[in-house]
Amino acid sequence: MIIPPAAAEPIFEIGGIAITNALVNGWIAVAFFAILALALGRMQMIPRGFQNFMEVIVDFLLKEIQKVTGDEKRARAFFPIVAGIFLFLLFSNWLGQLPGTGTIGVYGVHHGEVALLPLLRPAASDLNLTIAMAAFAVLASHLFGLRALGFVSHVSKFINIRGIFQAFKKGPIAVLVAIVEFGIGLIELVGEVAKVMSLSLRLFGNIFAGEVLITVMLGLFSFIVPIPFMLLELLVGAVQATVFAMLTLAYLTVATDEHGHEEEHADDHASEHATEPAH
Amino acid sequence: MSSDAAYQRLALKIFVEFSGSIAIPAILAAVFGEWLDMRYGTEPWLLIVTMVVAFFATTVVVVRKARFYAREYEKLNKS
Repeated sequence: MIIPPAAAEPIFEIGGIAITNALVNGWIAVAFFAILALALGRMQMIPRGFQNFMEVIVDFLLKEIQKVTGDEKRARAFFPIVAGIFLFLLFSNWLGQLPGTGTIGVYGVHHGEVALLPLLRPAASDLNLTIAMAAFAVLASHLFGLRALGFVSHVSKFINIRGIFQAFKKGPIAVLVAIVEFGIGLIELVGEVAKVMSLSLRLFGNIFAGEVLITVMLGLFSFIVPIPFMLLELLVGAVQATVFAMLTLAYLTVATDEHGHEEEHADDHASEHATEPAH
Repeated sequence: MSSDAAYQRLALKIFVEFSGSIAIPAILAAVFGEWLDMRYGTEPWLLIVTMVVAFFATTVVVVRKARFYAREYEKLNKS
Protein backbone atom coordinates (compact mmCIF):
# COMPACT_ATOMS: atom_id res chain seq x y z
CA MET A 1 0.00 0.00 0.00
CA ILE A 2 1.32 3.44 -0.88
CA ILE A 3 0.47 6.70 0.81
CA PRO A 4 -1.81 8.52 -1.62
CA PRO A 5 0.12 11.17 -3.61
CA ALA A 6 -1.32 14.69 -3.77
CA ALA A 7 -2.33 14.28 -7.41
CA ALA A 8 -4.98 11.75 -8.33
CA GLU A 9 -3.54 8.75 -10.22
CA PRO A 10 -4.71 8.07 -13.76
CA ILE A 11 -5.90 4.47 -13.97
CA PHE A 12 -6.85 4.23 -17.64
CA GLU A 13 -7.39 6.36 -20.71
CA ILE A 14 -10.41 6.98 -22.89
CA GLY A 15 -9.56 8.59 -26.21
CA GLY A 16 -6.39 10.19 -24.87
CA ILE A 17 -8.09 11.63 -21.79
CA ALA A 18 -6.66 10.21 -18.57
CA ILE A 19 -9.35 8.94 -16.22
CA THR A 20 -8.19 9.35 -12.62
CA ASN A 21 -9.47 7.40 -9.64
CA ALA A 22 -10.91 10.59 -8.12
CA LEU A 23 -12.84 11.19 -11.33
CA VAL A 24 -14.36 7.70 -11.07
CA ASN A 25 -15.63 8.52 -7.58
CA GLY A 26 -17.04 11.83 -8.77
CA TRP A 27 -18.98 10.12 -11.53
CA ILE A 28 -20.27 7.49 -9.10
CA ALA A 29 -21.75 10.34 -7.05
CA VAL A 30 -23.24 11.92 -10.18
CA ALA A 31 -24.71 8.56 -11.25
CA PHE A 32 -26.13 8.05 -7.75
CA PHE A 33 -28.07 11.31 -7.89
CA ALA A 34 -29.18 10.70 -11.48
CA ILE A 35 -30.55 7.28 -10.50
CA LEU A 36 -32.19 8.83 -7.44
CA ALA A 37 -33.95 11.38 -9.64
CA LEU A 38 -35.10 8.67 -12.05
CA ALA A 39 -36.25 6.44 -9.18
CA LEU A 40 -38.45 9.25 -7.91
CA GLY A 41 -40.32 9.06 -11.19
CA ARG A 42 -43.36 11.25 -11.61
CA MET A 43 -44.10 13.49 -8.68
CA GLN A 44 -47.39 12.94 -6.90
CA MET A 45 -49.37 15.85 -5.50
CA ILE A 46 -49.76 13.94 -2.24
CA PRO A 47 -46.28 12.57 -1.47
CA ARG A 48 -45.94 9.05 -0.09
CA GLY A 49 -43.06 6.86 0.96
CA PHE A 50 -39.81 7.59 -0.89
CA GLN A 51 -40.98 10.89 -2.37
CA ASN A 52 -42.11 12.01 1.06
CA PHE A 53 -38.66 11.27 2.49
CA MET A 54 -36.97 13.25 -0.30
CA GLU A 55 -39.34 16.15 0.20
CA VAL A 56 -38.41 16.28 3.89
CA ILE A 57 -34.73 16.64 2.93
CA VAL A 58 -35.42 19.29 0.27
CA ASP A 59 -37.72 21.19 2.59
CA PHE A 60 -35.15 21.18 5.39
CA LEU A 61 -32.38 22.44 3.08
CA LEU A 62 -34.62 25.15 1.63
CA LYS A 63 -35.52 26.38 5.13
CA GLU A 64 -31.85 26.48 6.16
CA ILE A 65 -30.95 28.45 3.02
CA GLN A 66 -33.81 30.85 3.63
CA LYS A 67 -32.45 31.57 7.12
CA VAL A 68 -29.32 33.02 5.47
CA THR A 69 -30.82 34.77 2.44
CA GLY A 70 -33.75 36.15 4.42
CA ASP A 71 -36.22 36.01 1.58
CA GLU A 72 -37.86 33.14 -0.21
CA LYS A 73 -37.19 34.41 -3.73
CA ARG A 74 -33.41 34.31 -3.36
CA ALA A 75 -33.59 31.09 -1.34
CA ARG A 76 -35.35 29.39 -4.24
CA ALA A 77 -32.92 30.88 -6.77
CA PHE A 78 -29.84 29.69 -4.83
CA PHE A 79 -31.29 26.37 -3.76
CA PRO A 80 -30.20 24.29 -6.79
CA ILE A 81 -26.59 25.50 -6.53
CA VAL A 82 -26.16 25.33 -2.77
CA ALA A 83 -28.10 22.12 -2.13
CA GLY A 84 -26.48 20.51 -5.16
CA ILE A 85 -22.98 21.33 -3.88
CA PHE A 86 -23.87 20.17 -0.38
CA LEU A 87 -25.41 16.84 -1.36
CA PHE A 88 -22.72 16.07 -3.93
CA LEU A 89 -19.89 16.80 -1.50
CA LEU A 90 -21.55 14.98 1.37
CA PHE A 91 -22.10 11.87 -0.72
CA SER A 92 -18.67 11.88 -2.37
CA ASN A 93 -16.91 12.57 0.95
CA TRP A 94 -18.70 9.70 2.63
CA LEU A 95 -18.07 7.51 -0.39
CA GLY A 96 -14.41 7.72 0.60
CA GLN A 97 -15.21 5.60 3.66
CA LEU A 98 -16.64 2.80 1.54
CA PRO A 99 -14.62 -0.40 2.05
CA GLY A 100 -12.36 -0.78 -0.96
CA THR A 101 -11.69 2.90 -1.47
CA GLY A 102 -7.92 3.21 -1.49
CA THR A 103 -7.38 -0.55 -1.12
CA ILE A 104 -8.83 -2.21 -4.23
CA GLY A 105 -6.85 -1.23 -7.27
CA VAL A 106 -4.86 -2.07 -10.35
CA TYR A 107 -1.10 -2.41 -10.60
CA GLY A 108 0.48 0.48 -12.40
CA VAL A 109 3.63 2.57 -12.56
CA HIS A 110 3.98 5.08 -9.75
CA HIS A 111 7.16 7.20 -9.56
CA GLY A 112 8.92 4.65 -11.76
CA GLU A 113 7.93 1.73 -9.54
CA VAL A 114 5.09 -0.74 -9.89
CA ALA A 115 2.55 -0.09 -7.15
CA LEU A 116 -1.10 -0.67 -6.36
CA LEU A 117 -3.09 2.26 -7.73
CA PRO A 118 -6.45 2.44 -5.96
CA LEU A 119 -9.50 2.32 -8.20
CA LEU A 120 -11.46 4.65 -5.96
CA ARG A 121 -10.34 7.83 -4.24
CA PRO A 122 -12.56 10.49 -2.64
CA ALA A 123 -13.52 12.97 -5.36
CA ALA A 124 -12.67 16.01 -3.21
CA SER A 125 -9.13 14.72 -2.61
CA ASP A 126 -8.31 15.93 -6.12
CA LEU A 127 -7.44 19.63 -6.20
CA ASN A 128 -8.80 19.87 -9.77
CA LEU A 129 -12.32 19.16 -8.58
CA THR A 130 -12.23 21.52 -5.60
CA ILE A 131 -10.75 24.41 -7.61
CA ALA A 132 -13.37 23.91 -10.31
CA MET A 133 -16.17 23.90 -7.75
CA ALA A 134 -14.81 26.95 -5.91
CA ALA A 135 -14.34 28.87 -9.18
CA PHE A 136 -17.89 27.97 -10.16
CA ALA A 137 -19.25 29.11 -6.78
CA VAL A 138 -17.51 32.50 -6.92
CA LEU A 139 -18.38 32.98 -10.61
CA ALA A 140 -22.01 32.14 -9.88
CA SER A 141 -22.06 34.75 -7.11
CA HIS A 142 -20.88 37.36 -9.65
CA LEU A 143 -23.45 36.34 -12.25
CA PHE A 144 -26.23 36.53 -9.67
CA GLY A 145 -24.82 39.87 -8.50
CA LEU A 146 -24.81 41.24 -12.05
CA ARG A 147 -28.40 40.11 -12.54
CA ALA A 148 -29.66 41.43 -9.22
CA LEU A 149 -27.87 44.80 -9.07
CA GLY A 150 -27.16 45.57 -12.71
CA PHE A 151 -23.77 45.97 -14.38
CA VAL A 152 -22.77 49.37 -12.97
CA SER A 153 -23.72 48.68 -9.35
CA HIS A 154 -22.05 45.29 -9.27
CA VAL A 155 -18.81 46.38 -10.93
CA SER A 156 -18.70 49.47 -8.70
CA LYS A 157 -18.22 47.17 -5.71
CA PHE A 158 -14.74 46.44 -7.05
CA ILE A 159 -13.78 49.25 -9.43
CA ASN A 160 -15.57 52.17 -7.88
CA ILE A 161 -15.25 54.87 -10.56
CA ARG A 162 -18.88 55.83 -10.05
CA GLY A 163 -18.14 56.67 -6.41
CA ILE A 164 -15.39 59.11 -7.42
CA PHE A 165 -17.66 60.88 -9.91
CA GLN A 166 -20.45 61.14 -7.33
CA ALA A 167 -18.00 62.52 -4.75
CA PHE A 168 -17.11 65.49 -6.97
CA LYS A 169 -20.54 66.95 -6.24
CA LYS A 170 -19.94 66.76 -2.48
CA GLY A 171 -16.58 68.48 -2.12
CA PRO A 172 -12.85 67.77 -1.76
CA ILE A 173 -13.00 65.62 1.41
CA ALA A 174 -15.55 63.33 -0.21
CA VAL A 175 -13.25 62.93 -3.22
CA LEU A 176 -10.41 61.87 -0.94
CA VAL A 177 -12.67 59.33 0.77
CA ALA A 178 -13.83 58.05 -2.62
CA ILE A 179 -10.24 57.52 -3.75
CA VAL A 180 -9.53 55.49 -0.61
CA GLU A 181 -12.70 53.50 -1.26
CA PHE A 182 -11.51 52.90 -4.80
CA GLY A 183 -8.34 51.34 -3.38
CA ILE A 184 -10.38 49.17 -1.00
CA GLY A 185 -12.45 48.03 -3.97
CA LEU A 186 -9.29 46.89 -5.72
CA ILE A 187 -8.25 44.94 -2.63
CA GLU A 188 -11.63 43.23 -2.71
CA LEU A 189 -10.88 42.20 -6.27
CA VAL A 190 -7.86 40.32 -4.91
CA GLY A 191 -10.17 38.97 -2.22
CA GLU A 192 -12.26 37.27 -4.89
CA VAL A 193 -9.23 35.24 -5.98
CA ALA A 194 -8.49 34.49 -2.32
CA LYS A 195 -12.05 33.19 -1.95
CA VAL A 196 -11.46 30.59 -4.66
CA MET A 197 -8.10 29.66 -3.13
CA SER A 198 -9.34 29.27 0.44
CA LEU A 199 -12.53 27.41 -0.54
CA SER A 200 -10.71 24.90 -2.71
CA LEU A 201 -7.64 24.39 -0.51
CA ARG A 202 -9.71 23.94 2.64
CA LEU A 203 -11.85 21.21 1.13
CA PHE A 204 -8.95 19.49 -0.61
CA GLY A 205 -6.71 19.69 2.46
CA ASN A 206 -9.25 18.19 4.82
CA ILE A 207 -10.41 15.34 2.61
CA PHE A 208 -6.92 14.49 1.33
CA ALA A 209 -5.44 14.59 4.85
CA GLY A 210 -8.21 12.27 5.98
CA GLU A 211 -7.43 9.81 3.21
CA VAL A 212 -3.72 9.83 4.10
CA LEU A 213 -4.52 9.45 7.81
CA ILE A 214 -6.76 6.43 7.20
CA THR A 215 -4.11 4.85 4.94
CA VAL A 216 -1.41 5.30 7.59
CA MET A 217 -3.67 3.98 10.35
CA LEU A 218 -4.62 0.93 8.29
CA GLY A 219 -0.93 0.38 7.62
CA LEU A 220 -0.12 0.44 11.34
CA PHE A 221 -3.08 -1.51 12.71
CA SER A 222 -5.55 -3.67 10.84
CA PHE A 223 -8.33 -3.79 13.40
CA ILE A 224 -10.16 -1.55 15.88
CA VAL A 225 -7.62 1.33 15.98
CA PRO A 226 -8.63 2.85 12.59
CA ILE A 227 -12.33 2.90 13.57
CA PRO A 228 -12.29 6.16 15.57
CA PHE A 229 -10.41 7.83 12.72
CA MET A 230 -13.03 6.60 10.27
CA LEU A 231 -15.78 8.04 12.45
CA LEU A 232 -13.81 11.28 12.53
CA GLU A 233 -13.70 11.21 8.73
CA LEU A 234 -17.50 10.88 8.60
CA LEU A 235 -17.70 14.02 10.73
CA VAL A 236 -15.10 15.88 8.65
CA GLY A 237 -16.92 14.92 5.44
CA ALA A 238 -20.21 16.31 6.72
CA VAL A 239 -18.63 19.43 8.19
CA GLN A 240 -16.62 20.27 5.07
CA ALA A 241 -19.65 19.75 2.83
CA THR A 242 -21.64 22.11 5.09
CA VAL A 243 -18.83 24.66 5.18
CA PHE A 244 -18.40 24.71 1.39
CA ALA A 245 -22.13 25.00 0.77
CA MET A 246 -22.69 27.66 3.45
CA LEU A 247 -19.77 29.79 2.23
CA THR A 248 -21.10 29.55 -1.32
CA LEU A 249 -24.47 30.63 -0.01
CA ALA A 250 -22.89 33.52 1.91
CA TYR A 251 -21.04 34.70 -1.24
CA LEU A 252 -24.24 34.48 -3.27
CA THR A 253 -26.21 36.37 -0.64
CA VAL A 254 -23.60 39.12 -0.23
CA ALA A 255 -23.25 39.54 -4.01
CA THR A 256 -26.99 40.09 -4.41
CA ASP A 257 -27.33 42.40 -1.39
CA GLU A 258 -27.97 46.04 -2.21
CA HIS A 259 -25.39 47.30 0.29
CA GLY A 260 -22.68 45.95 2.57
CA HIS A 261 -20.04 44.12 0.61
CA GLU A 262 -18.12 42.73 3.54
CA GLU A 263 -18.53 39.32 5.03
CA GLU A 264 -19.23 40.72 8.47
CA HIS A 265 -22.19 42.65 7.10
CA ALA A 266 -23.58 39.48 5.61
CA ASP A 267 -23.29 37.78 8.96
CA ASP A 268 -25.17 40.61 10.61
CA HIS A 269 -27.91 40.32 8.02
CA ALA A 270 -28.00 36.59 8.46
CA SER A 271 -28.33 36.89 12.22
CA GLU A 272 -31.12 39.44 11.89
CA HIS A 273 -32.99 37.17 9.54
CA ALA A 274 -32.20 34.07 11.53
CA THR A 275 -33.80 35.46 14.64
CA GLU A 276 -36.97 36.40 12.78
CA PRO A 277 -39.78 33.89 13.16
CA ALA A 278 -40.22 31.63 10.15
CA HIS A 279 -43.03 32.66 7.86
CA MET B 1 -31.68 34.92 25.59
CA SER B 2 -29.99 34.04 22.35
CA SER B 3 -31.38 31.60 19.86
CA ASP B 4 -29.88 28.36 18.62
CA ALA B 5 -29.18 30.04 15.29
CA ALA B 6 -26.56 32.30 16.88
CA TYR B 7 -24.73 29.31 18.34
CA GLN B 8 -24.92 27.46 15.03
CA ARG B 9 -23.45 30.43 13.21
CA LEU B 10 -20.60 30.64 15.70
CA ALA B 11 -19.96 26.91 15.28
CA LEU B 12 -19.90 27.26 11.49
CA LYS B 13 -17.47 30.17 11.72
CA ILE B 14 -15.19 28.07 13.93
CA PHE B 15 -15.37 25.16 11.47
CA VAL B 16 -14.50 27.47 8.58
CA GLU B 17 -11.61 29.24 10.27
CA PHE B 18 -10.03 26.25 12.01
CA SER B 19 -10.21 23.82 9.12
CA GLY B 20 -8.92 26.57 6.86
CA SER B 21 -6.02 27.60 9.05
CA ILE B 22 -4.89 23.99 9.41
CA ALA B 23 -5.21 22.92 5.77
CA ILE B 24 -4.26 26.01 3.79
CA PRO B 25 -0.78 26.80 5.23
CA ALA B 26 0.18 23.11 5.07
CA ILE B 27 -0.73 22.79 1.39
CA LEU B 28 0.89 26.07 0.41
CA ALA B 29 4.05 25.11 2.33
CA ALA B 30 4.14 21.71 0.62
CA VAL B 31 3.79 23.22 -2.85
CA PHE B 32 6.25 26.04 -2.16
CA GLY B 33 8.76 23.78 -0.43
CA GLU B 34 8.76 21.24 -3.27
CA TRP B 35 9.24 24.04 -5.77
CA LEU B 36 12.16 25.50 -3.79
CA ASP B 37 13.75 22.06 -3.48
CA MET B 38 13.43 21.48 -7.20
CA ARG B 39 14.93 24.85 -7.93
CA TYR B 40 17.94 24.58 -5.63
CA GLY B 41 18.31 20.79 -5.64
CA THR B 42 18.25 20.57 -1.85
CA GLU B 43 15.66 17.81 -1.55
CA PRO B 44 14.12 17.42 1.02
CA TRP B 45 15.50 20.13 3.33
CA LEU B 46 13.67 23.24 2.14
CA LEU B 47 10.39 21.30 2.14
CA ILE B 48 11.00 20.39 5.78
CA VAL B 49 11.80 24.02 6.62
CA THR B 50 8.63 25.37 4.97
CA MET B 51 6.49 22.68 6.60
CA VAL B 52 7.91 23.49 10.05
CA VAL B 53 7.21 27.17 9.46
CA ALA B 54 3.66 26.33 8.32
CA PHE B 55 2.97 24.12 11.35
CA PHE B 56 4.33 26.77 13.67
CA ALA B 57 2.21 29.48 12.03
CA THR B 58 -0.86 27.22 12.23
CA THR B 59 -0.28 26.58 15.93
CA VAL B 60 0.00 30.29 16.69
CA VAL B 61 -3.09 31.14 14.62
CA VAL B 62 -5.20 28.31 16.04
CA VAL B 63 -4.35 29.18 19.65
CA ARG B 64 -5.18 32.83 19.07
CA LYS B 65 -8.43 31.98 17.33
CA ALA B 66 -9.38 29.50 20.05
CA ARG B 67 -8.96 32.26 22.67
CA PHE B 68 -10.97 34.67 20.51
CA TYR B 69 -13.83 32.23 19.96
CA ALA B 70 -13.88 31.25 23.63
CA ARG B 71 -14.58 34.92 24.40
CA GLU B 72 -17.23 35.05 21.66
CA TYR B 73 -18.90 32.00 23.15
CA GLU B 74 -18.94 33.57 26.59
CA LYS B 75 -20.46 36.71 25.10
CA LEU B 76 -23.21 34.64 23.49
CA ASN B 77 -23.94 32.91 26.79
CA LYS B 78 -24.34 36.23 28.56
CA SER B 79 -26.50 37.94 25.94
